[in-house]
Amino acid sequence: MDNKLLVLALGFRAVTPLVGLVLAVSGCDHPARDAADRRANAKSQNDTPPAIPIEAGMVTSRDQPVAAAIDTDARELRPGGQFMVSVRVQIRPGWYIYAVDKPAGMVSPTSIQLELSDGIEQAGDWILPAPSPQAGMPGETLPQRLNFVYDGAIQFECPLRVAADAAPGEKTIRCLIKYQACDRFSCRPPSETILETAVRIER
Amino acid sequence: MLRCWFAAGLLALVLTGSAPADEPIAVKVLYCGEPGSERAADYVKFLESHFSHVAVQNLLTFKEEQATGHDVVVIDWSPVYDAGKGEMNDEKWKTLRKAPPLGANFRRPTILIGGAGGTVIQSARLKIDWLCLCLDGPAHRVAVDHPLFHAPLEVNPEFSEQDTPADYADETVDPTLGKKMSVWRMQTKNFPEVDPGLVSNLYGFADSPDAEVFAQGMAGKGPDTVTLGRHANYFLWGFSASPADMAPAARRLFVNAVCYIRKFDGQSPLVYRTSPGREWALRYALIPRQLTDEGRKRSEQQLREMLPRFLNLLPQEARDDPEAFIAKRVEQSQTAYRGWLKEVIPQPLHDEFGMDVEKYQAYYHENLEYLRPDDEKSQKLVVDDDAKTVGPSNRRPEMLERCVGMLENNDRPELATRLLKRYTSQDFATAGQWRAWLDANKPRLFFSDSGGYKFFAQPASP
Repeated sequence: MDNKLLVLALGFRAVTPLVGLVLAVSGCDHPARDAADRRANAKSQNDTPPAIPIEAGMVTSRDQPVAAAIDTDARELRPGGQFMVSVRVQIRPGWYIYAVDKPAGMVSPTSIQLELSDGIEQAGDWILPAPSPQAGMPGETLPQRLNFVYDGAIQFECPLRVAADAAPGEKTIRCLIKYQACDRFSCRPPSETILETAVRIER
Repeated sequence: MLRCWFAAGLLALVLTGSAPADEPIAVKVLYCGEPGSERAADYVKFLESHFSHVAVQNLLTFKEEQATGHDVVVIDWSPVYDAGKGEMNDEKWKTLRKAPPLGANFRRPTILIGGAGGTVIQSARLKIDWLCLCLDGPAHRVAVDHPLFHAPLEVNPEFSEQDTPADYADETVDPTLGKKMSVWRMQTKNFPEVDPGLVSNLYGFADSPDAEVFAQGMAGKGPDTVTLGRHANYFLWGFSASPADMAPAARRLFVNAVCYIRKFDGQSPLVYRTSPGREWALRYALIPRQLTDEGRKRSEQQLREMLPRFLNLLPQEARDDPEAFIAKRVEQSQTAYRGWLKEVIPQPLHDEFGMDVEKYQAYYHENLEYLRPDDEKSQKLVVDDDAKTVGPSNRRPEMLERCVGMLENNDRPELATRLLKRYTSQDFATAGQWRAWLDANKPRLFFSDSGGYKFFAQPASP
């Protein structure tokens, strides 16, 4: 399989500015697309993502304070079809990771990259969870001592599209998420996790 | 006459422990870093000016058997942060992560420098662990009386006083920490000009005879951190600056560190870190301070002062109604703290003391000698009522003596046996067997929180 790596670190946009873009590309009546729009709309209304249920298997521990899972809102697709890939991250109480594309200082911000099989392409920017400003936490390493973090359960979403000339068969979607987990007392070394899921293309 | 001068010189060397300044010390050093880099050149030049043999090895391809023929291994790497910007360079970090971990059986004297040192021993469960790569200040609580500071070179650190950071009051269990700290600036450059340094977990670090703390560090996570320390054959040199950016006395100390760790060739750790030191209970007991009305107001005020400077980074709701946003954010933060508190404070204590930090502190100080982990996976430290009944402390051999005495006198034998089994790795059937074991091992017994809240016996001297 000839995979291509999509480096998206520079392509992030915050949730609110992205809503217009998502709506603009949602002209098709694909159910998955509708679901994505509904979620994006829900976010635009109060700027706070809805609570995300903890999935089975996403168990955190003292040694592994961050757990992540990947999923798509459709499994079987046709050429031209759009769907959403979501990465859910569960962060242990008291722990946090640093926001994408926000200043982080001594610690490393989160980054997320997709690696897509031939025939699957990115159809828009990532929809990022809203970061929380955090003040007064020891280890805040910016001179201003204000960090932007994610805590609790968060979700990243990205719209994908099946190319018009995509060959039928199973297509792999891999996601590399890099993050650094800290709590009040410690910071783990920057870590990375590779998540993988698949969709089936039918003619 | 010549023989007399030679003898006198030798005697002086023995008495002072000092080598002539212009004569390299007979130690073979293997520097494992990034050959060809500016940093490696600086380190090698420095090492060659003090030691008789210095070889260079690429850390990324280092194999443990390559240490054969060398006295001391130095683990180092080039900076992984972009100097001046203060941001980790993802590619540089990715490269460092390729460094092979040191195996559990690597016993050669080794100096672990900063993040590179922390990277290669991450999975080793040493007391030298990765608390955080957040050392951005000087050393404090420096053990200047230790031989490390006096041989072969005399090291005279220059101490100065500085204000204690305001938030350290919530990040230390040291009751003597005042408004001023006596610190030693070991580096002439600090983060972000150089990489942040590595610090290890202080609590329980020195609770076994194979581990020593030489200096604590003023780190982002507080002052209760180890930045110069030894565990078995490993020496933590947490500071990241290369020799050119070290204070002169720090360079001399590094020379001594090489000579000192050389003595521990072949030593294996007596314990591995499996449990939190009991001082963590005192630290956790400070968390409720964040949950009081005063703590809430402090958090709100901090956000109120800072957010206007970051408006462009904030969601629209923060710009539309900053006060509502601050209130919501502080509530989220407090909810996380409350959830966290449940993980580290036993529920009955939480029910009894609520958010009263003073009561938690008093309770844990009063019961410090009887604490142990709730269970293997828990962060909670609870009072062992059995140990408290017997006294005087679950970490002093006197408790074992009392327990064996109880068995011999048929005084609450179930309690005595329970404690003996809980705190030793032994399982004997009779009082006589417990007595024989205790008498044989008592002079060599030590207790380690880090090692799993057990008594261990040091190996007998050869």
